[in-house]
Amino acid sequence: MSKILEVALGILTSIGGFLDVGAIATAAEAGSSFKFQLLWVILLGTICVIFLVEMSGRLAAVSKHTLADAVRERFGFNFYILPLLAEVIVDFLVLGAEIGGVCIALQLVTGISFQWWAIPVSFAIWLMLWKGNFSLIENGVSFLGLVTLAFVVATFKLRPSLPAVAQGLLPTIPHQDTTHYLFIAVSILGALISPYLFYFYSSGAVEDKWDKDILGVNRAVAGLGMGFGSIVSMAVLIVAALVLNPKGIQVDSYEQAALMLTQPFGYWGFILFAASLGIACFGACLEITLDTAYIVAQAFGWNWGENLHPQEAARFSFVYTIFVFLAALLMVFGIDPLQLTLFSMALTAVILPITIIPFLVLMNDPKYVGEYKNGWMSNSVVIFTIALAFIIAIFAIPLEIIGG
Amino acid sequence: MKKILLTSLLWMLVACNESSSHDKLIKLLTTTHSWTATTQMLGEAWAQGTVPDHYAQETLKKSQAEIAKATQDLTPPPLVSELQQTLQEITTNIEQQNKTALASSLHQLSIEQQQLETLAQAEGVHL
Amino acid sequence: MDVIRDILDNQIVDRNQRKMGKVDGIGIEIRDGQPPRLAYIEIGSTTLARRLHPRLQKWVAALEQKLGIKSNEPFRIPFSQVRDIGIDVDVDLEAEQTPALAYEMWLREHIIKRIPGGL
Repeated sequence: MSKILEVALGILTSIGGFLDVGAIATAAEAGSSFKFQLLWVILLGTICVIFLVEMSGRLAAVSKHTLADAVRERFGFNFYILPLLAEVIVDFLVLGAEIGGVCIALQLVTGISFQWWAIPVSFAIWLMLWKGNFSLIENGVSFLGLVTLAFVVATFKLRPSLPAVAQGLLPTIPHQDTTHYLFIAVSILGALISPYLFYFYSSGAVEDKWDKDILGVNRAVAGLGMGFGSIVSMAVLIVAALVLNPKGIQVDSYEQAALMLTQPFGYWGFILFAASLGIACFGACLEITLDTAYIVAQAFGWNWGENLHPQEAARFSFVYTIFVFLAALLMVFGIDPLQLTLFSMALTAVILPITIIPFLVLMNDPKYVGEYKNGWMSNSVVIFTIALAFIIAIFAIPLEIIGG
Repeated sequence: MKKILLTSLLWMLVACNESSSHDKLIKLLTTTHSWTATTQMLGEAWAQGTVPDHYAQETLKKSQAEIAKATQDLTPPPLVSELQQTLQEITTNIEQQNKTALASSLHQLSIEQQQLETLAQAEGVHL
Repeated sequence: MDVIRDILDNQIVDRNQRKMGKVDGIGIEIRDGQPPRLAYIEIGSTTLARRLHPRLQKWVAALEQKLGIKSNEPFRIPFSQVRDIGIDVDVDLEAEQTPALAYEMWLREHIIKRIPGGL
């Protein structure tokens, strides 16, 4: 496939796959509670993600190792067990929340309670992983995810004041409701800078057999794909700010968020919200389930790969099978999906340092990335992200308790 | 590590002590305001056929539950009880598919919503 | 020793580039008057557990015994059978003929094969 086509495909799938339950929930909360003021947090998180994702692809292409592989190899199992356990626990909770997102979408449309949908949804996820291959999962569902562009179209329809939006892109901290503001800010960052993203990306790069020639494509896809994807996230915030905030609705549940597209689109707006939520979350479910199986298999050196048939990678397939059904139980037992989403985002923020620091070391180690070491810009952004992650890590849980 | 634990502990203590009765009132007012606004938008949307019946009913149930939860451990101002009553009326209107009665209930709701905003201002709460 | 850093925790692949596991442990031979020599590489959950904590190793060993898994001994590959050390550690063996894939084969036969559509 020509390079341009590859870049285009990569960008489209990144846009379609950008939103997930965390991004939607936090953007809706942010827009409804604080109008445009939190836009800068989405921008900040996106910049961090672009660099981390690009690095993840570069590491895989040059070293032919996935991130998980490389971390165990470079730092030893005794170290790696820590980020591994942290990541598996967080993946479990986030997967529960994402499954919840799909179930809520189905509840919105059918009226049947989300608890009943949990097992069927997890079965659908399992079936796609069992029978599908990597391209189908990465490209197929992400293409469907382009339905989330409805939020961007809605933004145009609603005609926001551009100066007001631009002002939101500059960092501010309000004097009122500060704890609530900071909590949402932390949750947005946790939703955007998710470790599963760059673990998954590196595994995908190895599945697709990337090499040095693809580094340019990698940069373009990371930059433009994530960049344009974040516009969809910002669109959710802006729509919530324009539709819900003036009425005084502060999003505390998905039922309230579901109203936001009804103003620009009427009945179809309700359906589009449910479709966006459902498809975006379903895509994320596939990614996270796979990602957990990837990092566990790679940690222990098992055969792994979505392009392999389950019988060729028995332990790998077994892990994702068990994992997805266990995570579904969180929804079966009726845990509130939005609360779980916000909690898992805050927890993600807490484990960020232990995930990113080894990553930084690897990206400067010529043994892994050869002459493609990090430049000063990449290193600066990563160090900044780590510093940010530490600050968030210290304050996230207390904020969760007070401001949640 | 110790510093982190200590900071967290301090934060948690602050959090536990924060629920004074004034804070509970603020929480009640903000919750009520948000969910009645939701009901207002929901009612109008339902009347236009924009949202399905089951969704409207489920969201109404949730509104009532959330407001009821916020009234625990405190004596709610009479306005809140009136609002809860109006919410119940709206629920019945939608169950009975009575759009005319719904319109007048929604009108009633918006008047009460404005009273709520005045009350909040008096308490120094920015809604 | 650089060898330790280079080889420990690396991916092991067999003759057919099939993944066999990671270098969970290494055995070193100490000889009089000569530098220490790498004797074997080891794959095993007990080996891994021991690196974390000796008590954990006993716990894992007891668990495996209870589950009826026959081998208590970790699988050792003599260094003579290591053909190349690069990105991965290439060994001159067939993965499926070694105990390294015991769990993998067991899962495949008893669970994965029983679920339709796995091929």
